[in-house]
Amino acid sequence: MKILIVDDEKPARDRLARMVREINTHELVGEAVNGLEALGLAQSLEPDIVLLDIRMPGMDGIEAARHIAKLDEPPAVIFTTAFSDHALEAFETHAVDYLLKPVKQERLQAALDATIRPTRAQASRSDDVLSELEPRQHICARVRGSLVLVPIEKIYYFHAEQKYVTVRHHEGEVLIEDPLKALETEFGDRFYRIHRNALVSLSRLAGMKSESDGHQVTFRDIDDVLEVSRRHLPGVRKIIRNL
Amino acid sequence: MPDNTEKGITGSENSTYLPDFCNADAFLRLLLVVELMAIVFALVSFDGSGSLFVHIALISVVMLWVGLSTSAILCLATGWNWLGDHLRTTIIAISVTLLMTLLASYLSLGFGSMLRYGSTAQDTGFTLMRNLAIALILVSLALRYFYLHYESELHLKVQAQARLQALQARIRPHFLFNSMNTIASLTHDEPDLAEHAIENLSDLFRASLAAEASISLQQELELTRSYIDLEALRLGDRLKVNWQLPGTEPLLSLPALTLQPLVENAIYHGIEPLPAGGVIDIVINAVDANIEISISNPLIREQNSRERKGNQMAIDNIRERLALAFDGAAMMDLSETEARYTVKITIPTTEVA
Repeated sequence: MKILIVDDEKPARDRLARMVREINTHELVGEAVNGLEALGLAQSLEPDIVLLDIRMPGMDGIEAARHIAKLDEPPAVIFTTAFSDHALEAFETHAVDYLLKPVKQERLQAALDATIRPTRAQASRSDDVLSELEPRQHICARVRGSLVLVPIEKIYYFHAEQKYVTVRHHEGEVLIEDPLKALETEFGDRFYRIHRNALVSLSRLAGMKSESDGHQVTFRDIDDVLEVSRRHLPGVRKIIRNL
Repeated sequence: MPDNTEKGITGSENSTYLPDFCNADAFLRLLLVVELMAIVFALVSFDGSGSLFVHIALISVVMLWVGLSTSAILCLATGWNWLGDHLRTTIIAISVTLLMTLLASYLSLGFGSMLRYGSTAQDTGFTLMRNLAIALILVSLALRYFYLHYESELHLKVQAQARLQALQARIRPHFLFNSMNTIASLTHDEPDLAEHAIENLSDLFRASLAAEASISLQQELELTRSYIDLEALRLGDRLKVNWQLPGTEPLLSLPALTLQPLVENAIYHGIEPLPAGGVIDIVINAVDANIEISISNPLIREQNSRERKGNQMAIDNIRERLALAFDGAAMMDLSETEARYTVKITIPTTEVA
């Protein structure tokens, strides 16, 4: 099995790397220092197993795992953590595998031996489990076969059209498959529902104008407008007033 | 954190400063004190005519009656939740005592004239006023005593709780296990560094286990350096520390592990979330009769609520310990600029912790 090690601390990476090398049945293919790099290497190196630290700068392990779960052939993820009470509880109840640092050789071997690569369905279940922990900091979209990450704070709105959701951000737009309902649950404190098909960023909202056929919201810095449904009009009014 | 502390104490069943009059022990102690006072008054007022014991007995009857009935009523009042805040408690306690004194005095006057003993009808008014005045003074003294007692107990409880919190917050499990992991890694590749790391970790634990010890500023700085050395092993060149110390280290003693947790906070919230790391500034200045210590780190705005709460808890904790150690004379200021978060503590040099 091909193994990718992800940890922001060099001593931690060195130790895991040495331990993996001592196991003959597994091969170390790479090391990453944060979630972002891990995501890139997970695509290019195609590891079978990712040993993923939870607390890392930039993108943490939980979020990285959620993006990794959306790859075509997602590797199995085993979290490594020194101490993280809240996350461990979620893992216990949903049987996501994790190792406590300092990791014991036997425990590592047992965890690696027991691991089978998940199917896409299994991976997406683990994404559901992890989604309970923290909202993501990025939206991950696939553009021509490679992953594109959009920071949440750069997003103007999500707009649902048939099968896909358009994510409008500062440099253009990407398509994702996440249902709007799930996005609303995850980012409810930063985005507001203005229509059955749209969520808008509270920090990007500029105002509202009324047209002959209804109301539309406008945004800072971009010319896009989105229709506000009658049902959501009172709520949107209140928000605009408090801007 | 302080919210919890307050709730823990004032929210308990004993929210009034009065002792529990429904408790048999407290009741008996009160009766004993009342009886002793009755004897004192009897001795003072005895003029040699008649029997001393009858005199004592009469005064005791009146005073015990006041004591008993007042306690009984206050016991009931507590049970019915009549007492409310301190002001209300005081007013109720005084009114009940005066009322009972008035009642007891009337009864005793009637009784006394029947026995042809004690006050005569001419000075009824004077006797009532005198008894009321005595009762007012005694009950005021008693309430003052109860209040002081209550306050000192409260203070002890707060102190104990603060100590407990301090102890719990001192070594973050996160830090402990990461250090252990670093040491496990170094043991293999760089035994000398591992050995040094274990020494540093031991120093920190020794200090954290010596609860409430005061140490010199110099020792505290050494502990802080031990801590920074450990974190540097883990974080590598992501962690840079810029020290600015005065030429001569000021003489000052402070509770052990006052600065270290502030630096720990700075690293945890200001350096670890940055992929490229950053700089911690530690600046110590002697200004007039004060020592100013400021610790600043890069400000990270995108923090989740859990981390902000963690930071707040650590800050509250240190604030509480400073308040206890310097009796309120030490100050702690938090400030934010565009790019940096600074904690400054000011400690008077005259006070010795």
